[in-house]
Amino acid sequence: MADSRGQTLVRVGALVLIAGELVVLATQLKIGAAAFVTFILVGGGLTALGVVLALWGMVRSERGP
Amino acid sequence: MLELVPGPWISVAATLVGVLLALRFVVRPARTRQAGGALVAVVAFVAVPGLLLTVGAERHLALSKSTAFCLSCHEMHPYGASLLQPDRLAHAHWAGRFVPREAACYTCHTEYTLYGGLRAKLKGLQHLWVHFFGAQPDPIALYTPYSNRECLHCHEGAKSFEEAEGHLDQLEAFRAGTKTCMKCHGPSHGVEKGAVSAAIAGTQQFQLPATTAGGK
Repeated sequence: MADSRGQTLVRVGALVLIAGELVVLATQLKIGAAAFVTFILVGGGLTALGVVLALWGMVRSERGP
Repeated sequence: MLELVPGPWISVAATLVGVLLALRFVVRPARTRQAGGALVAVVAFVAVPGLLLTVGAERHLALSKSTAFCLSCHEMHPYGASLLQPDRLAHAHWAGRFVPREAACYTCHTEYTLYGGLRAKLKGLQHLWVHFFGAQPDPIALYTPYSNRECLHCHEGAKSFEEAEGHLDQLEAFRAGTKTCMKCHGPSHGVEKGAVSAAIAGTQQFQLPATTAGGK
């Protein structure tokens, strides 16, 4: 059971991480300062959340059921 | 038309690599338990985001100091326009190249203290909050009166400063802030009431001339 939850966490974490990285990538576009800072904050937050979730999932998966 | 900012492509390439690596674990999260899978996961979840943070932070912090960055918000257009008005102190600094044109706003509006740069970033977040959720003051006022320290940082000791009448004999008053530089040398921007609202409404547009916007 713990293993399954761990893998779900890895999957969700990876998805959130991807979303965050793509939002941060959008700052490479020529956009205004307000959008730029917003993208950095939102993208950075999502990326950090994704990393935590994915690593937490990895740890749970390693422990196994 | 979407346009990319010029610069190193390493962050774009690293992001795409990171996305592709992370996608492997979206499709099959059990890969983290396979031989070598954990290593790839650590690369995708730690190394690539870490690289992006390092490369991105340096580049984006530099970008946030640029004049073009500050003037990309409509609220700032009247202040940008003042750089081109000959009777403004801002113009004297801009036209005389007393400040680097590519970082004109940042040069004058960042405190020359240990944490001045950090405070400028925090104030930037405050600006963002007001931009989205608050009411923009018109004209925009500084949070605190402009400190002589910022003027003296560059001007103190300069021949032109010391030779000007009334400077040297009141240097202590300037340092102490009991007599302000702005009293004699203002207005710095001289933005009139209503100009910010007009800029926000889009009825007054402003863009620095291409020949000087980049400080080239």
